[in-house]
Amino acid sequence: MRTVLELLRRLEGAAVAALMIVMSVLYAVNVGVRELASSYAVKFAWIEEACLYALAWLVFLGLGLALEQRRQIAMTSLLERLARGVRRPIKLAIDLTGLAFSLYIAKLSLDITLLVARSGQASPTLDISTGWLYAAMPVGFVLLGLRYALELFSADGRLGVKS
Amino acid sequence: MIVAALCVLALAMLVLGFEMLLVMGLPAVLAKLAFHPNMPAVIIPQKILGGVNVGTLLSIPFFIFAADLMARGVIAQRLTAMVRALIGHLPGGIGHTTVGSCMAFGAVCGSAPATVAALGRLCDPELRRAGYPEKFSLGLIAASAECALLIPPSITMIIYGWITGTSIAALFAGGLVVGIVLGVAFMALVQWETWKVGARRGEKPSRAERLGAFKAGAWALGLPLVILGGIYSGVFTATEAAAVAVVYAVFVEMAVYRGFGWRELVRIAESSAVTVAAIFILLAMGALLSHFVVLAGVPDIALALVKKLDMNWVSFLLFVNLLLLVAGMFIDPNSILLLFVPTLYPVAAALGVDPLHFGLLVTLNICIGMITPPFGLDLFVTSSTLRRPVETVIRGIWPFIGVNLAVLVLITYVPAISTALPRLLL
Repeated sequence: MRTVLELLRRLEGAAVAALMIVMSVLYAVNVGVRELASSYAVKFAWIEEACLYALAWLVFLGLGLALEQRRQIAMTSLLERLARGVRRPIKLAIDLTGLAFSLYIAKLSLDITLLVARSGQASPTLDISTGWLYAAMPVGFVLLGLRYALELFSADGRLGVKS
Repeated sequence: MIVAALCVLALAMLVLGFEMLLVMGLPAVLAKLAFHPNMPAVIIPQKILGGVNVGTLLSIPFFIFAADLMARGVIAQRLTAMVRALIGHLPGGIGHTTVGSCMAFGAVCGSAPATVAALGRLCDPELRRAGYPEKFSLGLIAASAECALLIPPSITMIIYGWITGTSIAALFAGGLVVGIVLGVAFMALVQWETWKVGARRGEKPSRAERLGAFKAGAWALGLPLVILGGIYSGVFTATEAAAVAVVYAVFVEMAVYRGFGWRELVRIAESSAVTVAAIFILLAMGALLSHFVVLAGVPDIALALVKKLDMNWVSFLLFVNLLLLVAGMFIDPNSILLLFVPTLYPVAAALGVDPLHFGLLVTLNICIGMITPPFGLDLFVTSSTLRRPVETVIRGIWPFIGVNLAVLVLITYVPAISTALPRLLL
Protein backbone atom coordinates (compact mmCIF):
# COMPACT_ATOMS: atom_id res chain seq x y z
CA MET A 1 0.00 0.00 0.00
CA ARG A 2 2.76 2.39 0.99
CA THR A 3 4.77 1.70 -2.16
CA VAL A 4 1.68 2.20 -4.32
CA LEU A 5 1.13 5.60 -2.72
CA GLU A 6 4.78 6.51 -3.13
CA LEU A 7 4.59 5.56 -6.82
CA LEU A 8 1.43 7.66 -7.24
CA ARG A 9 3.14 10.59 -5.56
CA ARG A 10 6.10 10.37 -7.92
CA LEU A 11 3.85 10.09 -10.96
CA GLU A 12 1.86 13.15 -9.92
CA GLY A 13 5.03 15.09 -9.14
CA ALA A 14 6.70 14.19 -12.43
CA ALA A 15 3.52 14.99 -14.38
CA VAL A 16 2.98 18.46 -12.90
CA ALA A 17 6.68 19.33 -13.20
CA ALA A 18 6.70 18.26 -16.85
CA LEU A 19 3.51 20.23 -17.58
CA MET A 20 4.99 23.33 -15.94
CA ILE A 21 8.20 23.19 -17.97
CA VAL A 22 6.56 22.26 -21.29
CA MET A 23 3.95 25.03 -20.94
CA SER A 24 6.58 27.69 -20.33
CA VAL A 25 8.80 26.58 -23.19
CA LEU A 26 5.90 26.26 -25.66
CA TYR A 27 4.54 29.69 -24.83
CA ALA A 28 7.96 31.34 -25.11
CA VAL A 29 8.58 29.57 -28.44
CA ASN A 30 5.27 30.98 -29.62
CA VAL A 31 6.49 34.53 -28.90
CA GLY A 32 9.86 33.83 -30.51
CA VAL A 33 8.27 32.54 -33.70
CA ARG A 34 5.96 35.52 -33.94
CA GLU A 35 8.76 38.03 -33.47
CA LEU A 36 11.41 36.34 -35.58
CA ALA A 37 9.50 34.43 -38.25
CA SER A 38 6.01 35.86 -38.30
CA SER A 39 5.01 34.04 -41.48
CA TYR A 40 5.12 30.74 -39.54
CA ALA A 41 3.07 32.08 -36.63
CA VAL A 42 -0.19 30.66 -38.01
CA LYS A 43 1.25 27.17 -37.73
CA PHE A 44 1.71 27.68 -34.00
CA ALA A 45 -1.77 28.97 -33.24
CA TRP A 46 -2.52 25.79 -31.28
CA ILE A 47 0.01 26.67 -28.57
CA GLU A 48 -2.23 29.05 -26.59
CA GLU A 49 -4.96 26.43 -26.35
CA ALA A 50 -2.52 23.61 -25.60
CA CYS A 51 -1.17 25.68 -22.70
CA LEU A 52 -4.67 26.16 -21.30
CA TYR A 53 -5.25 22.39 -21.47
CA ALA A 54 -1.88 21.84 -19.77
CA LEU A 55 -2.76 24.40 -17.08
CA ALA A 56 -6.06 22.64 -16.31
CA TRP A 57 -4.29 19.29 -15.96
CA LEU A 58 -1.51 20.81 -13.87
CA VAL A 59 -3.99 22.44 -11.49
CA PHE A 60 -6.24 19.43 -10.95
CA LEU A 61 -3.40 16.88 -10.83
CA GLY A 62 -1.69 19.08 -8.24
CA LEU A 63 -4.66 19.17 -5.84
CA GLY A 64 -3.84 15.94 -4.03
CA LEU A 65 -0.16 16.76 -3.70
CA ALA A 66 -1.01 20.20 -2.34
CA LEU A 67 -3.21 18.72 0.38
CA GLU A 68 -0.65 16.08 1.27
CA GLN A 69 2.14 18.68 1.53
CA ARG A 70 -0.12 20.96 3.64
CA ARG A 71 0.03 23.57 0.92
CA GLN A 72 -3.70 23.95 0.33
CA ILE A 73 -4.56 27.37 1.70
CA ALA A 74 -6.39 27.26 5.03
CA MET A 75 -6.57 29.48 8.07
CA THR A 76 -5.34 27.02 10.68
CA SER A 77 -4.00 29.45 13.30
CA LEU A 78 -6.97 28.98 15.62
CA LEU A 79 -7.13 25.23 15.12
CA GLU A 80 -3.47 24.84 16.05
CA ARG A 81 -4.07 26.60 19.35
CA LEU A 82 -6.96 24.41 20.45
CA ALA A 83 -6.54 21.53 22.89
CA ARG A 84 -6.07 18.15 21.28
CA GLY A 85 -9.44 16.86 22.49
CA VAL A 86 -11.26 19.69 20.69
CA ARG A 87 -9.05 19.49 17.63
CA ARG A 88 -9.73 15.86 16.79
CA PRO A 89 -13.47 16.13 16.08
CA ILE A 90 -12.88 19.31 14.02
CA LYS A 91 -10.22 17.58 11.97
CA LEU A 92 -12.56 14.64 11.49
CA ALA A 93 -15.26 17.03 10.24
CA ILE A 94 -12.82 18.71 7.83
CA ASP A 95 -11.62 15.42 6.35
CA LEU A 96 -15.13 13.97 6.02
CA THR A 97 -16.41 17.17 4.39
CA GLY A 98 -13.39 17.24 2.08
CA LEU A 99 -13.88 13.62 1.09
CA ALA A 100 -17.61 13.99 0.40
CA PHE A 101 -17.12 17.28 -1.47
CA SER A 102 -14.29 15.89 -3.63
CA LEU A 103 -16.25 12.78 -4.58
CA TYR A 104 -19.40 14.80 -5.34
CA ILE A 105 -17.50 17.18 -7.63
CA ALA A 106 -15.66 14.20 -9.18
CA LYS A 107 -19.01 12.59 -10.00
CA LEU A 108 -20.48 15.78 -11.50
CA SER A 109 -17.35 16.46 -13.52
CA LEU A 110 -17.27 12.89 -14.81
CA ASP A 111 -20.85 13.40 -16.00
CA ILE A 112 -19.97 16.54 -17.91
CA THR A 113 -16.77 14.99 -19.30
CA LEU A 114 -18.73 12.09 -20.77
CA LEU A 115 -21.41 14.48 -22.04
CA VAL A 116 -18.85 16.63 -23.81
CA ALA A 117 -16.93 13.64 -25.14
CA ARG A 118 -20.12 12.14 -26.64
CA SER A 119 -21.21 15.45 -28.12
CA GLY A 120 -18.19 15.35 -30.42
CA GLN A 121 -17.28 18.93 -29.46
CA ALA A 122 -13.67 19.51 -30.50
CA SER A 123 -11.15 22.20 -29.65
CA PRO A 124 -10.87 24.86 -32.38
CA THR A 125 -7.10 24.71 -32.87
CA LEU A 126 -5.94 21.46 -31.29
CA ASP A 127 -8.23 19.13 -33.20
CA ILE A 128 -8.90 16.90 -30.20
CA SER A 129 -12.08 16.38 -28.19
CA THR A 130 -12.86 19.05 -25.57
CA GLY A 131 -13.49 16.05 -23.32
CA TRP A 132 -9.72 15.96 -22.72
CA LEU A 133 -9.95 19.36 -21.06
CA TYR A 134 -12.86 18.34 -18.81
CA ALA A 135 -11.26 14.97 -17.96
CA ALA A 136 -8.68 16.72 -15.76
CA MET A 137 -11.40 17.45 -13.20
CA PRO A 138 -12.70 13.94 -12.33
CA VAL A 139 -9.10 12.69 -12.15
CA GLY A 140 -7.99 15.59 -9.96
CA PHE A 141 -10.92 15.47 -7.56
CA VAL A 142 -10.55 11.69 -7.12
CA LEU A 143 -6.89 12.27 -6.22
CA LEU A 144 -7.94 14.99 -3.78
CA GLY A 145 -10.63 12.73 -2.29
CA LEU A 146 -8.04 9.98 -1.88
CA ARG A 147 -5.83 12.36 0.15
CA TYR A 148 -8.75 13.38 2.38
CA ALA A 149 -9.50 9.67 2.93
CA LEU A 150 -5.86 9.02 3.84
CA GLU A 151 -6.00 11.91 6.31
CA LEU A 152 -8.96 10.18 7.94
CA PHE A 153 -7.13 6.92 8.39
CA SER A 154 -3.61 8.21 8.96
CA ALA A 155 -2.10 7.60 12.37
CA ASP A 156 -0.86 11.14 12.67
CA GLY A 157 -3.41 13.50 11.24
CA ARG A 158 -2.84 16.78 9.47
CA LEU A 159 -1.93 18.52 12.69
CA GLY A 160 0.53 15.89 13.72
CA VAL A 161 -1.82 14.58 16.43
CA LYS A 162 -0.69 11.06 17.23
CA SER A 163 -3.55 8.63 17.76
CA MET B 1 -32.68 33.18 5.93
CA ILE B 2 -30.91 30.44 3.99
CA VAL B 3 -28.42 33.04 2.74
CA ALA B 4 -27.63 34.02 6.34
CA ALA B 5 -27.21 30.35 7.30
CA LEU B 6 -24.77 29.83 4.40
CA CYS B 7 -22.76 32.90 5.43
CA VAL B 8 -22.54 31.62 9.00
CA LEU B 9 -21.50 28.19 7.71
CA ALA B 10 -18.75 29.70 5.54
CA LEU B 11 -17.49 31.84 8.41
CA ALA B 12 -17.47 28.88 10.81
CA MET B 13 -15.59 26.73 8.29
CA LEU B 14 -13.07 29.53 7.74
CA VAL B 15 -12.39 30.02 11.44
CA LEU B 16 -12.18 26.29 12.17
CA GLY B 17 -9.43 25.80 9.59
CA PHE B 18 -11.24 24.14 6.68
CA GLU B 19 -9.30 24.45 3.42
CA MET B 20 -10.34 27.63 1.55
CA LEU B 21 -11.45 25.51 -1.39
CA LEU B 22 -14.10 23.98 0.89
CA VAL B 23 -14.95 27.34 2.50
CA MET B 24 -15.84 28.72 -0.95
CA GLY B 25 -16.96 25.55 -2.68
CA LEU B 26 -19.36 23.99 -0.19
CA PRO B 27 -21.63 27.04 0.39
CA ALA B 28 -21.74 27.55 -3.40
CA VAL B 29 -22.85 23.93 -3.96
CA LEU B 30 -25.43 24.22 -1.15
CA ALA B 31 -26.73 27.49 -2.61
CA LYS B 32 -27.23 25.75 -5.97
CA LEU B 33 -29.13 22.88 -4.31
CA ALA B 34 -31.28 25.23 -2.18
CA PHE B 35 -32.13 28.02 -4.64
CA HIS B 36 -31.76 26.48 -8.08
CA PRO B 37 -32.74 22.81 -7.71
CA ASN B 38 -33.88 22.64 -11.33
CA MET B 39 -30.68 24.03 -12.79
CA PRO B 40 -28.63 21.16 -14.31
CA ALA B 41 -25.94 20.09 -11.83
CA VAL B 42 -23.24 20.17 -14.51
CA ILE B 43 -23.22 23.95 -14.09
CA ILE B 44 -20.99 23.28 -11.05
CA PRO B 45 -18.03 21.62 -12.81
CA GLN B 46 -18.53 24.03 -15.73
CA LYS B 47 -18.04 27.07 -13.49
CA ILE B 48 -15.10 25.41 -11.70
CA LEU B 49 -13.32 24.79 -14.98
CA GLY B 50 -14.29 28.28 -16.10
CA GLY B 51 -12.15 29.73 -13.30
CA VAL B 52 -9.07 27.90 -14.57
CA ASN B 53 -9.46 27.86 -18.34
CA VAL B 54 -8.82 31.60 -18.81
CA GLY B 55 -6.20 33.05 -21.15
CA THR B 56 -5.41 36.09 -18.96
CA LEU B 57 -4.69 33.89 -15.94
CA LEU B 58 -2.09 31.87 -17.83
CA SER B 59 0.49 34.49 -16.82
CA ILE B 60 0.19 33.50 -13.14
CA PRO B 61 1.87 30.05 -13.36
CA PHE B 62 4.65 31.57 -15.46
CA PHE B 63 5.29 34.41 -13.01
CA ILE B 64 5.23 31.97 -10.06
CA PHE B 65 7.66 29.62 -11.77
CA ALA B 66 10.00 32.49 -12.72
CA ALA B 67 9.92 33.84 -9.15
CA ASP B 68 10.72 30.43 -7.64
CA LEU B 69 13.60 29.97 -10.09
CA MET B 70 15.06 33.34 -9.15
CA ALA B 71 14.49 32.91 -5.42
CA ARG B 72 16.53 29.67 -5.40
CA GLY B 73 19.18 30.89 -7.80
CA VAL B 74 21.52 33.86 -7.69
CA ILE B 75 19.56 36.58 -9.55
CA ALA B 76 18.26 38.02 -6.24
CA GLN B 77 21.81 38.17 -4.89
CA ARG B 78 23.14 39.99 -7.94
CA LEU B 79 20.32 42.53 -7.90
CA THR B 80 20.97 43.25 -4.20
CA ALA B 81 24.71 43.68 -4.83
CA MET B 82 23.94 46.23 -7.53
CA VAL B 83 21.59 48.27 -5.36
CA ARG B 84 24.15 48.21 -2.54
CA ALA B 85 26.92 49.41 -4.87
CA LEU B 86 24.68 52.33 -5.83
CA ILE B 87 23.31 53.54 -2.47
CA GLY B 88 24.90 51.41 0.30
CA HIS B 89 27.38 54.11 1.35
CA LEU B 90 24.78 56.85 1.91
CA PRO B 91 23.50 57.57 5.45
CA GLY B 92 21.06 54.74 6.18
CA GLY B 93 22.38 53.09 3.03
CA ILE B 94 22.02 49.49 4.17
CA GLY B 95 18.39 50.08 5.16
CA HIS B 96 17.69 51.82 1.86
CA THR B 97 19.42 48.96 0.06
CA THR B 98 16.90 46.56 1.63
CA VAL B 99 13.93 48.60 0.40
CA GLY B 100 15.55 49.19 -2.99
CA SER B 101 16.41 45.50 -3.45
CA CYS B 102 12.84 44.50 -2.64
CA MET B 103 11.61 47.00 -5.22
CA ALA B 104 14.10 45.73 -7.82
CA PHE B 105 13.25 42.11 -7.10
CA GLY B 106 9.57 43.04 -7.08
CA ALA B 107 10.02 44.17 -10.66
CA VAL B 108 10.72 40.58 -11.67
CA CYS B 109 8.56 38.73 -9.17
CA GLY B 110 4.91 39.20 -8.24
CA SER B 111 4.80 37.59 -4.84
CA ALA B 112 5.64 39.09 -1.44
CA PRO B 113 6.45 35.80 0.34
CA ALA B 114 8.85 34.84 -2.48
CA THR B 115 10.55 38.22 -2.03
CA VAL B 116 10.98 37.70 1.71
CA ALA B 117 12.40 34.24 1.07
CA ALA B 118 14.80 35.48 -1.60
CA LEU B 119 16.05 38.65 0.10
CA GLY B 120 15.56 38.12 3.83
CA ARG B 121 18.67 36.02 4.34
CA LEU B 122 20.76 38.45 2.28
CA CYS B 123 19.66 41.66 3.96
CA ASP B 124 19.17 40.71 7.61
CA PRO B 125 22.83 40.06 8.55
CA GLU B 126 23.92 43.32 6.88
CA LEU B 127 21.23 45.34 8.63
CA ARG B 128 22.31 43.92 11.99
CA ARG B 129 25.99 44.60 11.24
CA ALA B 130 25.15 48.23 10.42
CA GLY B 131 23.66 48.56 13.89
CA TYR B 132 19.90 48.39 13.35
CA PRO B 133 17.99 46.61 16.15
CA GLU B 134 16.78 43.07 15.40
CA LYS B 135 13.08 43.95 15.44
CA PHE B 136 13.59 46.87 13.06
CA SER B 137 15.51 44.67 10.63
CA LEU B 138 12.81 41.99 10.66
CA GLY B 139 9.99 44.53 10.32
CA LEU B 140 11.77 46.26 7.46
CA ILE B 141 12.21 43.01 5.54
CA ALA B 142 8.61 41.86 6.03
CA ALA B 143 7.22 45.28 5.06
CA SER B 144 9.51 46.04 2.10
CA ALA B 145 8.49 42.78 0.46
CA GLU B 146 5.04 44.31 -0.05
CA CYS B 147 6.49 46.47 -2.78
CA ALA B 148 6.74 43.25 -4.82
CA LEU B 149 2.97 42.97 -4.76
CA LEU B 150 2.54 46.50 -6.10
CA ILE B 151 5.45 46.84 -8.51
CA PRO B 152 4.62 44.91 -11.67
CA PRO B 153 4.35 42.04 -12.32
CA SER B 154 1.78 41.39 -9.58
CA ILE B 155 -0.32 38.27 -9.23
CA THR B 156 -2.88 40.14 -7.13
CA MET B 157 -3.46 42.65 -9.93
CA ILE B 158 -3.76 39.93 -12.58
CA ILE B 159 -6.55 38.32 -10.55
CA TYR B 160 -8.24 41.70 -9.95
CA GLY B 161 -8.02 42.42 -13.67
CA TRP B 162 -9.64 39.08 -14.46
CA ILE B 163 -12.51 39.57 -11.98
CA THR B 164 -13.31 43.13 -13.07
CA GLY B 165 -12.21 43.19 -16.71
CA THR B 166 -9.71 45.99 -16.02
CA SER B 167 -6.65 46.22 -18.29
CA ILE B 168 -3.74 44.41 -16.65
CA ALA B 169 -1.16 46.62 -18.39
CA ALA B 170 -2.89 49.70 -16.94
CA LEU B 171 -3.03 48.15 -13.45
CA PHE B 172 0.67 47.34 -13.71
CA ALA B 173 1.51 50.95 -14.65
CA GLY B 174 -0.52 52.31 -11.72
CA GLY B 175 1.07 49.74 -9.41
CA LEU B 176 4.53 50.93 -10.38
CA VAL B 177 3.74 54.45 -9.11
CA VAL B 178 2.00 53.28 -5.92
CA GLY B 179 4.84 50.81 -5.25
CA ILE B 180 7.41 53.58 -5.57
CA VAL B 181 5.39 55.88 -3.28
CA LEU B 182 5.28 53.11 -0.67
CA GLY B 183 8.99 52.34 -1.08
CA VAL B 184 9.92 56.00 -0.62
CA ALA B 185 7.72 56.20 2.49
CA PHE B 186 9.55 53.19 3.94
CA MET B 187 12.87 54.85 3.12
CA ALA B 188 11.79 57.89 5.12
CA LEU B 189 11.16 55.61 8.08
CA VAL B 190 14.60 54.02 7.58
CA GLN B 191 16.17 57.49 7.64
CA TRP B 192 14.43 58.31 10.92
CA GLU B 193 15.60 55.02 12.49
CA THR B 194 19.13 55.61 11.19
CA TRP B 195 19.35 58.93 13.02
CA LYS B 196 17.80 57.45 16.13
CA VAL B 197 20.15 54.47 16.52
CA GLY B 198 23.15 55.99 14.76
CA ALA B 199 23.45 53.12 12.29
CA ARG B 200 26.72 52.86 10.39
CA ARG B 201 26.98 53.47 6.66
CA GLY B 202 28.43 50.98 4.25
CA GLU B 203 31.84 51.72 2.71
CA LYS B 204 31.82 53.75 -0.44
CA PRO B 205 32.65 51.38 -3.29
CA SER B 206 35.36 52.37 -5.75
CA ARG B 207 34.41 52.97 -9.34
CA ALA B 208 35.89 49.58 -10.26
CA GLU B 209 33.82 47.83 -7.59
CA ARG B 210 30.66 49.49 -8.83
CA LEU B 211 31.42 48.54 -12.39
CA GLY B 212 32.09 44.98 -11.21
CA ALA B 213 28.73 44.76 -9.42
CA PHE B 214 26.92 45.99 -12.50
CA LYS B 215 28.82 43.64 -14.80
CA ALA B 216 28.03 40.69 -12.55
CA GLY B 217 24.40 41.72 -12.38
CA ALA B 218 23.87 42.74 -16.00
CA TRP B 219 22.10 39.49 -16.89
CA ALA B 220 19.86 39.77 -13.83
CA LEU B 221 19.04 43.37 -14.74
CA GLY B 222 17.95 42.17 -18.18
CA LEU B 223 14.91 40.51 -16.64
CA PRO B 224 12.96 43.61 -15.52
CA LEU B 225 13.88 45.19 -18.85
CA VAL B 226 12.40 42.21 -20.70
CA ILE B 227 9.23 42.17 -18.59
CA LEU B 228 8.42 45.88 -18.31
CA GLY B 229 10.05 46.99 -21.55
CA GLY B 230 8.33 44.19 -23.43
CA ILE B 231 4.89 44.96 -22.05
CA TYR B 232 5.00 48.74 -22.50
CA SER B 233 6.66 48.77 -25.90
CA GLY B 234 3.77 46.58 -27.00
CA VAL B 235 6.00 43.64 -28.01
CA PHE B 236 4.57 41.28 -25.38
CA THR B 237 1.33 40.77 -23.57
CA ALA B 238 1.70 40.21 -19.81
CA THR B 239 1.36 36.45 -20.32
CA GLU B 240 4.00 36.39 -23.03
CA ALA B 241 6.35 38.46 -20.89
CA ALA B 242 5.86 35.95 -18.08
CA ALA B 243 6.71 32.95 -20.26
CA VAL B 244 9.75 34.72 -21.68
CA ALA B 245 10.78 35.57 -18.10
CA VAL B 246 10.74 31.84 -17.21
CA VAL B 247 12.94 30.88 -20.14
CA TYR B 248 15.24 33.84 -19.50
CA ALA B 249 15.52 32.98 -15.78
CA VAL B 250 16.32 29.33 -16.58
CA PHE B 251 18.94 30.43 -19.10
CA VAL B 252 20.59 32.97 -16.78
CA GLU B 253 20.53 30.76 -13.66
CA MET B 254 21.63 27.56 -15.39
CA ALA B 255 23.81 28.60 -18.31
CA VAL B 256 25.28 31.97 -17.23
CA TYR B 257 25.50 31.85 -13.42
CA ARG B 258 25.39 28.04 -13.09
CA GLY B 259 23.28 28.41 -9.94
CA PHE B 260 21.62 24.97 -10.26
CA GLY B 261 21.34 21.93 -12.53
CA TRP B 262 18.61 19.94 -14.29
CA ARG B 263 17.55 17.91 -11.28
CA GLU B 264 17.01 21.09 -9.24
CA LEU B 265 15.07 22.60 -12.17
CA VAL B 266 12.60 19.70 -12.08
CA ARG B 267 12.29 19.98 -8.30
CA ILE B 268 11.53 23.71 -8.54
CA ALA B 269 9.03 23.08 -11.36
CA GLU B 270 7.17 20.56 -9.21
CA SER B 271 7.09 22.88 -6.22
CA SER B 272 5.88 25.80 -8.36
CA ALA B 273 3.20 23.57 -9.89
CA VAL B 274 1.84 22.67 -6.45
CA THR B 275 1.73 26.39 -5.55
CA VAL B 276 -0.13 27.04 -8.81
CA ALA B 277 -2.63 24.26 -8.02
CA ALA B 278 -3.29 25.70 -4.56
CA ILE B 279 -3.94 29.20 -6.00
CA PHE B 280 -5.98 28.12 -9.01
CA ILE B 281 -8.34 25.88 -7.07
CA LEU B 282 -9.25 29.07 -5.17
CA LEU B 283 -9.86 30.87 -8.47
CA ALA B 284 -11.98 27.91 -9.60
CA MET B 285 -14.07 27.79 -6.42
CA GLY B 286 -14.22 31.60 -6.39
CA ALA B 287 -15.68 31.56 -9.92
CA LEU B 288 -18.28 29.04 -8.77
CA LEU B 289 -19.13 31.03 -5.65
CA SER B 290 -19.35 34.40 -7.38
CA HIS B 291 -21.75 32.91 -9.96
CA PHE B 292 -24.24 32.16 -7.20
CA VAL B 293 -23.49 35.40 -5.32
CA VAL B 294 -24.38 37.37 -8.45
CA LEU B 295 -27.45 35.19 -9.15
CA ALA B 296 -28.66 35.92 -5.63
CA GLY B 297 -28.39 39.64 -6.41
CA VAL B 298 -25.92 40.37 -3.60
CA PRO B 299 -24.19 43.26 -5.47
CA ASP B 300 -27.61 44.92 -6.04
CA ILE B 301 -28.49 44.53 -2.38
CA ALA B 302 -25.14 46.06 -1.41
CA LEU B 303 -25.65 48.97 -3.80
CA ALA B 304 -29.17 49.60 -2.48
CA LEU B 305 -27.80 49.63 1.05
CA VAL B 306 -25.05 52.08 0.14
CA LYS B 307 -27.64 54.39 -1.49
CA LYS B 308 -29.93 54.13 1.51
CA LEU B 309 -27.07 55.10 3.83
CA ASP B 310 -26.43 58.02 1.47
CA MET B 311 -22.76 57.09 1.05
CA ASN B 312 -20.62 58.94 -1.47
CA TRP B 313 -17.33 57.66 -2.87
CA VAL B 314 -15.33 59.15 0.01
CA SER B 315 -17.23 57.36 2.75
CA PHE B 316 -17.61 54.18 0.66
CA LEU B 317 -13.86 53.89 0.11
CA LEU B 318 -13.28 54.47 3.81
CA PHE B 319 -15.68 51.62 4.50
CA VAL B 320 -13.89 49.40 1.93
CA ASN B 321 -10.55 50.19 3.56
CA LEU B 322 -11.81 49.22 7.01
CA LEU B 323 -13.50 46.07 5.75
CA LEU B 324 -10.45 44.87 3.82
CA LEU B 325 -8.06 45.75 6.64
CA VAL B 326 -9.99 43.59 9.06
CA ALA B 327 -10.45 40.79 6.50
CA GLY B 328 -6.76 40.99 5.60
CA MET B 329 -5.77 40.23 9.19
CA PHE B 330 -7.34 36.79 8.82
CA ILE B 331 -7.76 35.77 5.17
CA ASP B 332 -5.16 35.21 2.43
CA PRO B 333 -4.86 37.79 -0.39
CA ASN B 334 -6.35 35.78 -3.24
CA SER B 335 -9.36 34.67 -1.21
CA ILE B 336 -10.02 38.30 -0.23
CA LEU B 337 -10.17 39.29 -3.89
CA LEU B 338 -12.49 36.42 -4.75
CA LEU B 339 -14.77 36.91 -1.74
CA PHE B 340 -15.18 40.69 -1.78
CA VAL B 341 -14.37 42.20 -5.17
CA PRO B 342 -17.34 40.71 -7.11
CA THR B 343 -19.67 42.50 -4.66
CA LEU B 344 -17.70 45.69 -3.96
CA TYR B 345 -16.59 46.47 -7.51
CA PRO B 346 -20.08 47.10 -9.01
CA VAL B 347 -20.87 49.41 -6.09
CA ALA B 348 -17.60 51.30 -6.53
CA ALA B 349 -18.26 51.62 -10.26
CA ALA B 350 -21.80 52.91 -9.60
CA LEU B 351 -20.36 55.58 -7.29
CA GLY B 352 -18.00 56.71 -10.04
CA VAL B 353 -14.75 55.28 -8.65
CA ASP B 354 -12.21 54.58 -11.42
CA PRO B 355 -11.67 50.78 -11.79
CA LEU B 356 -7.89 51.33 -11.83
CA HIS B 357 -7.97 53.45 -8.70
CA PHE B 358 -10.17 50.88 -6.96
CA GLY B 359 -7.82 48.06 -8.00
CA LEU B 360 -4.78 49.78 -6.54
CA LEU B 361 -6.62 50.61 -3.35
CA VAL B 362 -7.68 46.97 -2.97
CA THR B 363 -4.14 45.76 -3.69
CA LEU B 364 -2.64 48.16 -1.16
CA ASN B 365 -5.15 46.99 1.44
CA ILE B 366 -4.15 43.42 0.74
CA CYS B 367 -0.50 44.41 1.17
CA ILE B 368 -1.22 45.85 4.58
CA GLY B 369 -3.17 42.72 5.50
CA MET B 370 -0.08 40.67 4.74
CA ILE B 371 1.95 42.40 7.45
CA THR B 372 -0.82 42.93 10.02
CA PRO B 373 -0.86 40.70 13.10
CA PRO B 374 -2.13 38.20 14.07
CA PHE B 375 -2.14 36.27 10.77
CA GLY B 376 -0.31 38.42 8.19
CA LEU B 377 1.40 35.91 5.91
CA ASP B 378 4.64 37.89 5.52
CA LEU B 379 5.17 37.89 9.28
CA PHE B 380 5.24 34.11 9.31
CA VAL B 381 7.36 33.81 6.18
CA THR B 382 9.89 36.23 7.68
CA SER B 383 9.88 34.31 10.93
CA SER B 384 10.37 30.92 9.28
CA THR B 385 12.91 32.08 6.67
CA LEU B 386 15.11 33.80 9.22
CA ARG B 387 14.35 31.41 12.09
CA ARG B 388 13.31 34.11 14.55
CA PRO B 389 10.24 34.13 16.79
CA VAL B 390 7.22 35.65 15.09
CA GLU B 391 6.68 37.82 18.19
CA THR B 392 9.93 39.70 17.42
CA VAL B 393 8.80 40.31 13.84
CA ILE B 394 5.47 41.61 15.14
CA ARG B 395 7.18 44.00 17.59
CA GLY B 396 9.13 45.46 14.68
CA ILE B 397 6.25 45.75 12.23
CA TRP B 398 4.10 48.44 13.92
CA PRO B 399 5.93 51.55 12.64
CA PHE B 400 5.68 50.14 9.12
CA ILE B 401 1.96 49.54 9.47
CA GLY B 402 1.63 53.17 10.55
CA VAL B 403 3.50 54.41 7.45
CA ASN B 404 1.48 52.05 5.31
CA LEU B 405 -1.83 53.41 6.61
CA ALA B 406 -0.68 56.95 5.86
CA VAL B 407 0.13 55.89 2.28
CA LEU B 408 -3.27 54.17 2.07
CA VAL B 409 -5.06 57.41 2.97
CA LEU B 410 -3.01 59.25 0.34
CA ILE B 411 -3.78 56.68 -2.37
CA THR B 412 -7.46 56.53 -1.42
CA TYR B 413 -8.12 60.26 -1.60
CA VAL B 414 -5.73 61.27 -4.38
CA PRO B 415 -6.90 59.06 -7.27
CA ALA B 416 -4.49 60.75 -9.69
CA ILE B 417 -1.52 58.91 -8.12
CA SER B 418 -2.99 55.63 -9.35
CA THR B 419 -4.38 56.75 -12.66
CA ALA B 420 -1.95 59.34 -14.09
CA LEU B 421 0.79 57.03 -15.43
CA PRO B 422 -1.57 54.46 -17.01
CA ARG B 423 -3.37 57.33 -18.81
CA LEU B 424 -0.05 58.67 -20.03
CA LEU B 425 1.26 55.31 -21.26
CA LEU B 426 -1.82 53.59 -22.66
